[in-house]
Amino acid sequence: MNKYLVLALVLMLAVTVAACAPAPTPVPPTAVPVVQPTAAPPPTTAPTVAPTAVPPTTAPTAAPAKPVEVQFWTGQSGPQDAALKKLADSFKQKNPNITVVVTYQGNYTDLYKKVSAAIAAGSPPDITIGYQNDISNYIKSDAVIPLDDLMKDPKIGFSDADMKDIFPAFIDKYPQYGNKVYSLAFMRSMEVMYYNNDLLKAAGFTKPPETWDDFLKACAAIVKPDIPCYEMPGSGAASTFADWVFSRGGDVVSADGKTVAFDKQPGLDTMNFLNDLFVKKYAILQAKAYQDQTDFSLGKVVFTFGSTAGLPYYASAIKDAGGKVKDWGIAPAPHSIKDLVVDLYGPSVAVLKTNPEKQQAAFLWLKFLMDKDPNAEWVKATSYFPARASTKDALADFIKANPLYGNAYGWLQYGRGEPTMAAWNPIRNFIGAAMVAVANGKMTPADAIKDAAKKSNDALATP
Amino acid sequence: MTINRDRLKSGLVQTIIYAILFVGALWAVFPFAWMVLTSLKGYAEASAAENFLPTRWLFSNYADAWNQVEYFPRYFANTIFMACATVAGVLTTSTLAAYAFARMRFPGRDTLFIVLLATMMVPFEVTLVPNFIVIRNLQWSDHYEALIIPWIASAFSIFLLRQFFRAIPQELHDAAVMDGCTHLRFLASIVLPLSRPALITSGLFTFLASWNSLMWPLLVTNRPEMRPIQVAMATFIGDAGTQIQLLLAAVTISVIPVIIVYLILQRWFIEGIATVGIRG
Repeated sequence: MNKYLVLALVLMLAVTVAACAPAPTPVPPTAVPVVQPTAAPPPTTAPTVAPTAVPPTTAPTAAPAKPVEVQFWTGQSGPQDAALKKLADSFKQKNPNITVVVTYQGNYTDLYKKVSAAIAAGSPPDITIGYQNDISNYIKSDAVIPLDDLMKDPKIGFSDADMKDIFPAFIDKYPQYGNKVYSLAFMRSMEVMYYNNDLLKAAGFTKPPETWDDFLKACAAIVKPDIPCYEMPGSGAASTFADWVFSRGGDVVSADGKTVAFDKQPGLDTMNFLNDLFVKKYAILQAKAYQDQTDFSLGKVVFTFGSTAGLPYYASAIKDAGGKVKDWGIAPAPHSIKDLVVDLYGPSVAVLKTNPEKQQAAFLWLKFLMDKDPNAEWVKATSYFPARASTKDALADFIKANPLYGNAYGWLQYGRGEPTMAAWNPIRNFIGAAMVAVANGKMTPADAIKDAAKKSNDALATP
Repeated sequence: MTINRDRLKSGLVQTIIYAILFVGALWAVFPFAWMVLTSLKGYAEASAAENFLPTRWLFSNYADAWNQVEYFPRYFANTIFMACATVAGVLTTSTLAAYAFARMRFPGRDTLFIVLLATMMVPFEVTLVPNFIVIRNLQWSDHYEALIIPWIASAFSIFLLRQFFRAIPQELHDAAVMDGCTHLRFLASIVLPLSRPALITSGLFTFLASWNSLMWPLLVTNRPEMRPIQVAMATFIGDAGTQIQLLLAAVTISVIPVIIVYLILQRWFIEGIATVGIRG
């Protein structure tokens, strides 16, 4: 009996200490991906100027004298991994001395852990994909190089025409590190509003709401006990919040990146608006991740807000649901300012500190990914948005086949990125928690904003 | 009359016992049933999780899941090899270490044992980078050694086996020594056969941990041919959604070998557990 008891106790102990035991990390197969959309230039450089679609000049290729292998670590799996490997083959044809080895290293959280460990071990990759807050930590470790000089290099850098062609939100400046460019992006997603046009038309609306007042009118006309106007993720939605603040003329972080800005009037208005939605029972909290996609496909919600990266998932869900929703679309979030601003986010690419040959080869690969034709191939495989305005020419057939994507392409010029500092990740959590507290009626909008701002400012002040 | 009443009482007790067992069995089987049934649904239905049974039975999900992962068979083979080798290593090292802690006398034994137990409280993340540096210096990256060797010593298994070994009567050891038995002979001939439940428990935990590992294999490998099955699972999780029906189809495929191993070993497994009860 003693041994039986010992066995039972040991089994219980094993369960309780499993998380602490120095064993391989088990990952639940149904783990929800950690999406930490951040991006783009700092709030100071609101890129609302439309880039001009000027044909870029072809910079002379400065091919390395001897063969160079470039290790490119990514968080892209399956078809996206295959698309990147295909692009690496194309790059090799144009640059025979450079071999790019594309390696999937898990989701972005796993990728960050692996890159950090590799940096600590002194064997980093040559170039890596990552979110800006993660890249900010690599900068802190002095592991990545600023790209400003390479971008301006007359032989391998970008020409003036290139710079006019590239959307500003794809060039990441880091205000906390001298406002230098430490990462560039060859893909971005956009925060948009998905709308059920069947429900809108039935209620007499001919187009999706363009202002927040119109949004409330649509909600008042359509909402039923089993059809809410909006479903909010159960852990909040920091990117949606940022987008809504942008749409009211505000920002989430101050110009110098040292304090938050979402505690100003636009942020407060956003939280008050969210509170109204829940008080009037126009909004509900999702019971599980991505439930808004499913409910939208079943015609059980009027509006959802999310990434354009979700377009294929929405389309798949709607098709799979047997056509319960026939007419649907996407639009920028309603706005109360004259100029449109949309939240652009997604991972970027940073070149790690290795040696000049590898750094140059890695930069050439990154530049290639941002070029019109390769970027168009990437877009066709992923439905992300490309870095250049001119890429639209190479996407004519794709846009014809995907009209919703084509609509959103037109809003890219109004893109603004989210903050690039490392503290943006915890700040996102504070904003999400504040939204949930308001949704559950546990805090007033003002208190929730105040609380989130205090915690966020503390995080920003932490070195 | 008394006999009938006793029979009735006995039948009632049996019915209640079977009812409880039936509920327990349902409780255990439900997650597997849910997994298999969800793997046969469409995307929207799988995500909605409103119907238990699929309205359309999409067996093609299995082909889609299999085809979406380029190295599925290789991942499978890697994981089976990795898990089996790790179990063999853990049982070997743990048995020897546990025996030393339980039966042999040497200076600092108990202190060393406490230090060993303390290592169980060190989080995986803390040892991640040092372990990675060691592997890199040994030039084991992208080799099976990196996937197996760091995990073939387990403080938990040593603790578990040591507790079992200590409970074996000292008289057995004394008698064996009188007959000229060495420590190794006593361990192999007497201790291990009596400790089968603990060995099976230890092996099972090690096998599951190895089967489920993702972060460490991702860290020490770059070549897809060297990676385990969990990497295949991760590929179904996207930035803006999860193809849950394909993910669960892949999970179902991945647990088939585990179920087969269990079916083959279940006699020993159940026997081992039963033995514990009888001996207690």
